[in-house]
Amino acid sequence: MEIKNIEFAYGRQKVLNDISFKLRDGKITTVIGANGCGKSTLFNIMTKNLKPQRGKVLLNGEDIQNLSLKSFARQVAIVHQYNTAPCDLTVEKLVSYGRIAHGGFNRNYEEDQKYIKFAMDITGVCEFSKKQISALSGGQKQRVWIAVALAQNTKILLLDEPTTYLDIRYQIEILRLIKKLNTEYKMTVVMVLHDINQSIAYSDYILAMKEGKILSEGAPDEVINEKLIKEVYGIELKVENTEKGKFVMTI
Amino acid sequence: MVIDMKGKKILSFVIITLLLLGLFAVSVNSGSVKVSYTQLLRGLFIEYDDSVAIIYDLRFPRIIIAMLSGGALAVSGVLFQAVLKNPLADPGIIGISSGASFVSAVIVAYFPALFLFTPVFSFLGGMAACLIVYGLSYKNGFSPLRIILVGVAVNAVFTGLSSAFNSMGGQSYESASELLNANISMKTWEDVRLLAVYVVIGLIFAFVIAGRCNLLSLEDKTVRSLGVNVTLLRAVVSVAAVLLASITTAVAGAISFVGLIVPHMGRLLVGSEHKLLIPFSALLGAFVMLLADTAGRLIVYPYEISPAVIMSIVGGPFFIILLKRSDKTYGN
Repeated sequence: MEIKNIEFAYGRQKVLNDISFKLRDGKITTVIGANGCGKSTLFNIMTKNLKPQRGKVLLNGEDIQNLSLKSFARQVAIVHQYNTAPCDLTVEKLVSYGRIAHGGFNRNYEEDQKYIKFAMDITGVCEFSKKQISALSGGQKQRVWIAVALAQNTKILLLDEPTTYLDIRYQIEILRLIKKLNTEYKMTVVMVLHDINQSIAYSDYILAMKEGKILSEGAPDEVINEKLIKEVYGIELKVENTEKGKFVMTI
Repeated sequence: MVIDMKGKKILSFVIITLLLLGLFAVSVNSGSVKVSYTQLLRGLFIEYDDSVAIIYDLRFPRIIIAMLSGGALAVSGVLFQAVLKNPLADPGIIGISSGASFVSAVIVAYFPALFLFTPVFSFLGGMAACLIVYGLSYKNGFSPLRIILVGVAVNAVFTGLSSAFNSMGGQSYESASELLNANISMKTWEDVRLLAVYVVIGLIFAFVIAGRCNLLSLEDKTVRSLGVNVTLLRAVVSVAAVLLASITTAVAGAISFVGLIVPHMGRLLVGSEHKLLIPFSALLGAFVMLLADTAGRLIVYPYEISPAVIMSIVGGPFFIILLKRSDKTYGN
């Protein structure tokens, strides 16, 4: 996926100003930035929920605006930040919705079952596949939503703040799951994260945004330093070098 | 536990079917003309019988119309609730029925020759009301409360227009005023045929899109990410909902609350899976409406209370209860 000269404005207010970058295949890329820096808008453009006023997003050389939602969904899976489902929907049924884009007249039910099972296995939701969504904890629900996306069987996975609303144990659980998807199943991942240290620890590539522009990009250890933190978040924080990489003292 | 729930759902279907059949049998034989069931069956299928002929010509059409319109309104309610993500949406409350009723009353009064096409005009009136309500209440999604408020206003305007129109006409537009009062006492087999054709089309359509209706309870962005054009889906489901509500209005008049009460009870009994909820609501709606009509015939015999009035009296309090606990009834 490649983003080319994207510009976007709500009315007169410019939110994104000439954003370009090329997604690293098989890597985890994390977008960081302060509130209102345009990262959510960028996410919405990459997921076909907003149309850029200028520029385009290319997927295998094709402008995603020209792709149908269905063919887009066969190539890119998305987990949005906020999700709802009817209380009495079972996990299994919800995960099966991930196969909708592969439906149609030549639907392959065996393949559907295969990918639904795969998605539930890897996210560890099999044990409660017959349960209703309302009976699950926040962390379990989030794993189910990731399973829905995985059932789509795509190479690319986009996640918008996948750890929000979760306590620390579930946050780490989700991040480890994402890491596993990347290392074991070679998925290309793009996510928006708020926690700077989690971004450093779980990404191969960081995209730091400020006021609708990309301020800096690269490997976490190269990009993250006290100057960048000050510029992106407008606050002075110490950055320590530890054996596990950089660590921002967010206190 | 899973089997228990499945059992409960099957049982619900069996019970409602039996209740509907039972009520049908009672309703057929309630009124001034009474016959035994053997006489009824003989009269219907074997040889001509005066009393049975009266029942056949007067009571059967109204019973069938009550059932068809109840089923159609209930399914329309399910569809509107899915589209608007709002458990309080009802084609009557949000003004669809009154829009349809106003337009069809005007047509019936001025162009009696177009009588057979009333459903078409009724549908156009319903669509107009629907577009007005959607247009005025959409703002980054449908806020449940805004829809109800706009709907109530639209409903008031169309009801007012209808009343004004009715007063202007005096006694001359009898069939128009029948429509406005939802009077189904003088219906004929012709009305049944008219209603049946469109209701069957609408219900089949609703059954076909039932699977897709489930998706509407997810977030719009999520539905899009699954590869489904959610705007188009909303439009299609809305058309089906308007069709069912306005056809019913064209023949039986504007009736509120069936589309509210029935889907709600349906969800408690068979859950929110639309492939079950839609057929179940059709059966339960038929039952509720026939119950309202039969009760209306018997309570103040020999006078009659229209089923629409009964539904309003029962439905109003129900609506308030739902309003008070609305955040618990849909989604999680």
